[in-house]
Amino acid sequence: MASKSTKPLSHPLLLLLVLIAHSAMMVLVICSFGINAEVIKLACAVLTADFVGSIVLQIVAREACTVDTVLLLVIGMSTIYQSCFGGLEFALKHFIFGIAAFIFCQISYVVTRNPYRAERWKPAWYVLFFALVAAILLLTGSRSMWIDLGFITLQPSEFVKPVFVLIAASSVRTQLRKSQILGVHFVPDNLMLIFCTCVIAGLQWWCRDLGSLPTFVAIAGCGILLRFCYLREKISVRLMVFLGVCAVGVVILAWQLAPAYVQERLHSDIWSDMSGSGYQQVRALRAIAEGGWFGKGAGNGTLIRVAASRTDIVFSTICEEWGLFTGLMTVILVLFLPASILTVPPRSYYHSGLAVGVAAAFIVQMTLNIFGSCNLIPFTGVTIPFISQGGSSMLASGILAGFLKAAQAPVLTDKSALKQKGGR
Amino acid sequence: MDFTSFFEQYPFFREAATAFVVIFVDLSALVILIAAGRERRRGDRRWAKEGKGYMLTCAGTLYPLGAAEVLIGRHPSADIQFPDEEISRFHALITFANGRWQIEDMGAHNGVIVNGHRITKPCTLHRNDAIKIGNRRLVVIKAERT
Repeated sequence: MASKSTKPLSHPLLLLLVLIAHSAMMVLVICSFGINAEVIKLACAVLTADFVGSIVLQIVAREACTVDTVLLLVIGMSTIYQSCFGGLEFALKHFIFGIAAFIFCQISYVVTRNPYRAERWKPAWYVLFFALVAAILLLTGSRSMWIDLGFITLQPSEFVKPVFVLIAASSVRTQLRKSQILGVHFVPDNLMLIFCTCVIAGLQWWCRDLGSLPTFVAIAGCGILLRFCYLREKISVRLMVFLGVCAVGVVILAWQLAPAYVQERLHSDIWSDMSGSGYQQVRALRAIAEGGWFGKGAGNGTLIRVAASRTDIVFSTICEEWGLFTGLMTVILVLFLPASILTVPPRSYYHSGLAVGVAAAFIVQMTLNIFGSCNLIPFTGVTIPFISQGGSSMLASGILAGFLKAAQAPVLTDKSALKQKGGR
Repeated sequence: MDFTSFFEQYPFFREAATAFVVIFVDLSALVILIAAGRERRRGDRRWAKEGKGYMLTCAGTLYPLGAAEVLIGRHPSADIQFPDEEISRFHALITFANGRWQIEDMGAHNGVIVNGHRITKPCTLHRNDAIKIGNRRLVVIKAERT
């Protein structure tokens, strides 16, 4: 479906706007720090990335320019934020991972743009899923979630997210393929999704990384919901009530059996223990208040001294230095990515599943991060896609953004169908 | 010129500069939204071209083929639903791949008949093909370009 004849005319204009938006932000950085080597490095890196990205996208003439444009804009903004927190120092590592995320987005687009092929490769996604689960089980644990490769540390649980989205998506044809064991009819794909969800829930419990669990549950929930939407045949009212009761029971059980640190977060009042368990949230809330509408100025924040200021409470750090307006604007820009599925609706059920899964992952992660920082929900320690520091999160988010692009510009070629002759 | 000390002396100007940046990036976001709207229209046109503008008609009612998988059946979750007893809950599936539309029988009791022949495997659809599903007769038509 992607062809040069349908090259979007608005693409150059959009990319020019990205370039100008980053330039405007850089002017503000220069106003705060003056002109020095670090500012020049930052400006050169961000503006060159925009320029090169624009040229590359023009040459390949890909579609779904909204996703590419928002991605370039957000990655540049994120690099500027991360470089300015608490004083200017070019965040080279963050920038490199941002570029890598953009490349990963294009790769995952190419891999998943054909929904028939992407679904045919589902056994490979299962293998990848269980390989990652094995890596988490064997190489990480409750103390550390990272694998140290020497030159780089990876968090395999982040890479499970895109693979899980690929598993959660399904098509009508797959849903109509039933198997029977001991007289019970079932759809193997649905059974595998439930099994994988249970595996990931158990793994998160074992790793004491329950913060990411809502993201996985949301992806699985959306996958199951889509199955309900287009195949309600198998879901009778009685079964739905039973499943609902089971879900409530599991939530109550999980609430009661949650580890001590989770219980503490669920029941603690941050204002009564401001220097203890509520320290991060109190400081995060104060930082938002002190920043006001327009912030203290880039590099003038104090929240940077608090742990996880670049990751788990990054929203508060942005609000403190750049102001609440900028913080909210950043959130809205990131939300543009999942909202892009509203612009060009997916043309296949598998791509719909992918797009809804990505939207669920992004929205839940942002909700957990921002609401956690604002003490509206217990603190979870989940990152904001593309904004928070963290290479694994950045790369995984890039892969997820590629799925959105695939849903917007699909290639509907089915090689297996080509082999069959139409017959009556 | 030392902007840092200037901004410390006159915080209003720093706020004004920040507001300018925010407004500018917001404007960029607005342009992205407008471009997204254009992309949607472009996507619809592209789909109409790619899918040859095919749609189904049955007794004067038009059924656009808006996705690569269109399910026909009695069940409420089918994309094209006919509440007839002769039609199975999930009767037929119309798919789009390799630039052509195909119809296949989903194991329906009464089968799917295309141009008078009961299909046993996926069958490519052409303009003016007549599809008989239960007592319903659907015709493949091409939408007129507007």
